[in-house]
Amino acid sequence: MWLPDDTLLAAWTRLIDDPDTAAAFAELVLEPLADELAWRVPPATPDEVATAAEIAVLAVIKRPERYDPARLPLPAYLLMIARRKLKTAQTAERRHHKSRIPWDSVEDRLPAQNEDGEDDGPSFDAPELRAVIAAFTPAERRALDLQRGGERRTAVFADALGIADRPAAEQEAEVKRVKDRILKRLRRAVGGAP
Amino acid sequence: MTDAVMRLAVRAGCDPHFLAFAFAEYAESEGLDEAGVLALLATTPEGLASARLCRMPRPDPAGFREDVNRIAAKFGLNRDALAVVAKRGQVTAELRRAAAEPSAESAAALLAARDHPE
Repeated sequence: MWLPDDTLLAAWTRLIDDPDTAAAFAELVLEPLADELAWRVPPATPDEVATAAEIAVLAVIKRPERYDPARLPLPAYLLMIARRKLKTAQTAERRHHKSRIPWDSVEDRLPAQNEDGEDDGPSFDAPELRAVIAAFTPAERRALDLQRGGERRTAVFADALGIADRPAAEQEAEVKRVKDRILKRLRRAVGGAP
Repeated sequence: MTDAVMRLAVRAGCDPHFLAFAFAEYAESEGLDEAGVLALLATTPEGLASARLCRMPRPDPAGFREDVNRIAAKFGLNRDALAVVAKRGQVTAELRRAAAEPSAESAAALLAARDHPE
């Protein structure tokens, strides 16, 4: 349940004056925000709700001055950001599943070389890419294989990276970092913008 | 501190704006798990979570020292270890930014500028 507006406003003011109070601010707003978000957007999974609420709270911690108390209460502002993030994530997920070709069927059609030459992008056999991939750690190679297979589930990547025993948020953060790093290195190798 | 805020603090590790980024980078490069990071910084899980959500220290030497001293004192972290971790996080973030520049020339120029401060 949300605390009174003046309490939240005081926490926000403290956050502007002293950014070190971010954790205290998060204590006040994160759980009420997740609760309200779950109630207002029922089809969302608990993970989706938690993620959207966390992103919204981090956004306010990072740029507290963007919130204007004259325009709307802080809970409404946080909810607005979180709902937008949640909807964007859900839309992206739906789009991904809609356009995704089942991996089994791809393997059936192209049993020997199903990973090469299927689009206009650089082949993974290109020397510059092979050199970069050769420098990957075994965990990065496993992650790359999963990405090439269209895998998106954090749990699967976490398992491949050997971090499945860590807390969910830590897994998610680490998986994102590895994916970003792989993408940047591959893009650099082919001369594209990272 | 709630588990939800602990998770939030870990999530902040994706963003170089937060000190959490430095902790995550250091832990990854040194192969440290959460217990290892806690031991390195000689702090509690609550202290670490609070520090994670702080801004990365300012890059100028005086600002860096002041920020590190303040955060270490406020949340009970080993100051020297925090300074090492934060510095490495800053350098990593800067190199990533340089690498993300659209051309190799601009990245090289940025790196050169770092080596030759005014």
